[in-house]
Amino acid sequence: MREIPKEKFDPLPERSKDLSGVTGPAAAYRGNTWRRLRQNKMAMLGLYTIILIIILAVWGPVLSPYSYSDQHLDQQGLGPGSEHWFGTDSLGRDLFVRVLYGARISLAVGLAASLINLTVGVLYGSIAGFAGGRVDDVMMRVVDMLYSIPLVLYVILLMVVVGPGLKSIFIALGLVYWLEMARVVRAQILSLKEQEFVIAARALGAGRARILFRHLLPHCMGPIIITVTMNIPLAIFTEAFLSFLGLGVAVPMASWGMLASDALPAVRSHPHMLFFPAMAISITILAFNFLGDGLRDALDPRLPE
Amino acid sequence: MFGYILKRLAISLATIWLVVTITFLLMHAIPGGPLTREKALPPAVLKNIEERYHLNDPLWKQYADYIYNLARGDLGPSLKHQGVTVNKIIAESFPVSAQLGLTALLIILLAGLPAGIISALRQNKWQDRLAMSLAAVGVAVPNFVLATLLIYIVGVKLGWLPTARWLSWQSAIMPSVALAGYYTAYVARLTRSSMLEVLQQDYIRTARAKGLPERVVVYKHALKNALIPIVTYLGPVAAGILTGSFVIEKIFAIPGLGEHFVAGIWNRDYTVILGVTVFYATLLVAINLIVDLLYCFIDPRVRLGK
Amino acid sequence: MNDILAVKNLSTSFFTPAGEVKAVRDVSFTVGTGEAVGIVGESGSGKSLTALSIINLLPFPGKITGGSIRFAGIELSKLNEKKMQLVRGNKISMIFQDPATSLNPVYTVGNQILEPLLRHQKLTRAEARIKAVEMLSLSGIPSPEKRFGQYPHEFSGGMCQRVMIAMALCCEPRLLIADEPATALDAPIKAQIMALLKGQKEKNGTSIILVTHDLGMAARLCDRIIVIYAGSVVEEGTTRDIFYNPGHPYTRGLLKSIPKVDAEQKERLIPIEGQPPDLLNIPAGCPFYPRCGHAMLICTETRPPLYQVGEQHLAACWLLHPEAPGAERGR
Repeated sequence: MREIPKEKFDPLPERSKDLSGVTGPAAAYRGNTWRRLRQNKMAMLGLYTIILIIILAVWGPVLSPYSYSDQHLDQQGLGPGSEHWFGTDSLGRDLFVRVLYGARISLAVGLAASLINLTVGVLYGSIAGFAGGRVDDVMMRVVDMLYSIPLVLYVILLMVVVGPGLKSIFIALGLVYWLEMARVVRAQILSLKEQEFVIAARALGAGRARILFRHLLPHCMGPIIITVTMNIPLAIFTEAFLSFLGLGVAVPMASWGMLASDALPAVRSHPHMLFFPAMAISITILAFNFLGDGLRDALDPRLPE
Repeated sequence: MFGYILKRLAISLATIWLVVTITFLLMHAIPGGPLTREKALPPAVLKNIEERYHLNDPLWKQYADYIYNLARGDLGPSLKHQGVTVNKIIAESFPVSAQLGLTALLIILLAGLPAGIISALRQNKWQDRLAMSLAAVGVAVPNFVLATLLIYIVGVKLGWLPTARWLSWQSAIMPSVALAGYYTAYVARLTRSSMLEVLQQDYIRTARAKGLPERVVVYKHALKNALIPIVTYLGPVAAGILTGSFVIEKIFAIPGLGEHFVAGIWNRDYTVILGVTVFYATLLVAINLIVDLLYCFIDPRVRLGK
Repeated sequence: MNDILAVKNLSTSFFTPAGEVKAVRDVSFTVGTGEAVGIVGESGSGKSLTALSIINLLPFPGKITGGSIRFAGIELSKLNEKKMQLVRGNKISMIFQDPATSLNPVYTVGNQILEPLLRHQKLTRAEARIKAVEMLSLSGIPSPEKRFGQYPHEFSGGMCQRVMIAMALCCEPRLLIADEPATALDAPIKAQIMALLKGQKEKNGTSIILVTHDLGMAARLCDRIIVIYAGSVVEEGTTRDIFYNPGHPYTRGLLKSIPKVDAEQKERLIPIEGQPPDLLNIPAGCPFYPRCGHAMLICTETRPPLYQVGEQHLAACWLLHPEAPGAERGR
């Protein structure tokens, strides 16, 4: 064994026992949600795409000399070109503008349906979760029963009753798709209800409504945001589906679903008429999906492996 | 287990009742009634029709009559196709839809499950990335978009498959694939995440500690547990195939029940709409019941009432 | 005494995105035939991973990075997965901490016990079943015939652990590794499980490695104890040695922090201050120095070697170096 100088066995001065250098930096997993989202490339791509779509939808049509309903019968069925970036449809209408208008409709539907879903779903779910007991039981039984029926069926029926048109779509979608939100909110409330800050608030004399809105709901924001983000593509899809079946907006409004439906008989000769709306729908839904997945990952932190 | 089944049965019947009632009320909420959209019929004919279909009876009586007939399995006559009952329409067109739907289901299970399993076993390797990229696109493309794309690429450009009707097994391929697309992708993702989660469980570690070969660990111990959430998802799958059939049958001109339903909506043929809705609801409730029973079989905790 | 297991300079690391976590660092110990050895340490000290390394059951991304593991003359670290599978459940068995989740919920208990029997022994199904029922009975499970066809959720925690033990012992392994087998169970059940293990050792000569943070439990069962801190062995010796003459400040700290039955009323429980080190960036020197009341300059620079304190008693501490000041070695 090699020789060790005697000084090495002097006791360590207090200051040198610095623990922090040894224990390492505290795991920084409770970082900013926004930062975590920003790191997720696919989610950010989705977000930028959505922003781009919104910009195009709102200001795009202004750039084009054409309106979505002008028919130029001498320019029917043209492929994409410098005059008409996406070509024209069988009635000579400029497809680019029509696709942009379709974006407006889809986004409007997504937004409106989500807002209604949000309101109805959050209210229903929070009441059920907060009240608990039999009230909760009954309310959720109803949800379960409604859930087992395809909701598209109901949307279709509602459309028949209410009549075609954009407003009807808003109402129909909103009235039918709140189930998921209700379930999510109820689950959150149930798990938060028993926590101590609720008991503390009660002890301070807070009324039930106050507890619900000021204390519990803010903690549900995460799952609510995620559910809204995932509901939007569903609404867009349903609107396209309905329009495709002829149950959506009326001619000559240009919903993407309707564009796809119009393109169908001409798909052999004029595939571009199908291609652009199809891409538009798929890219939009994909973007929302990526954003939704990213939000879910960002709001549900797990320790880095 | 009996208690479980009985409870599910009771809820199923209650659900069907709820659907019937809601749909009935919706149909009768349509302003003007079923015949007003027609070009003006002579008043005599109108009166005749109204009496024949009891359209002037008070609402509750119409409802009671309807429920009574329903219990006997009679869905009433079609309002638009003279001499044809709704039952007949369903009997003739449902088998076609059923074939389409079952083929789609087969595709979903035979393509989606293995894809998910392989992805899970080769996590983050190229098979996983490829499968999950395809799946991400698959859940974003609506079925009618997929259908029209398939028609264009495979039917028109490549000319491989027929694009319409329900004639031979070849005509079944594209519609089934289009119908199955979204759900295949979803099932693949679901299977993957389910398998990954199961493979983290303690009992998998125990299985390995017993010296069992990896094959047994994955296919005996992991798979059965991983299938549980997928069985649960089969309910929504059935519902989706059903509603998806509306567009797919329209696009491919397939004479199935979905096509008749959509036609009925266009024609405002209310008995058809009501009847087919009730039929669909009953079908789905029955499928959900079967799924629940399947669940019972796989998971002993449910079976023995934990 | 014949050594059934000899671990020398075992090192295991986790290769994480954040870097290499050296979880087990240069660990050496032996286990004799029919002997029970306890590996004692805090959570995160690397004791479980040491045990898992023996049968190469490390979770991703762990890997054995060095050392040798000799079991009954075979070098385990060199075995491929297929050969390792013949050893697991057969020559070396392992049981884990949470028995309720360690059994597959969708298969009967009987099905799961039959698996190692059918795989490792040339028995017919009928013969295996008889053996399995017998093992259940020997593990203290009443009505074993009936229990054979039941599912794990129908068993209590203690019963599940008995099933696990039956499953682990049914092929008569030479070595049983038990990772916190009784920690998740209630006190009276703890004692029963430990008695079961002790009986197994005495009757069948099965060697046992008990991994635990509970010194008391280790004392009840084990002949020898190895104390691990931050992935390294800091002390090893017979149970008597460790309890009555601990050589390492950490061991002494551990003993001071547990309540004793015969303690005087006013004796305080003294916890060890500070936290275990981050295994991603272990500083040079003795890993315990930041929490040690006797730290010296050398302790921050070089890892102490193992010094002989008694006949089978070793401790890795610079205080045992002849040049060290006459630091108290008592309690």
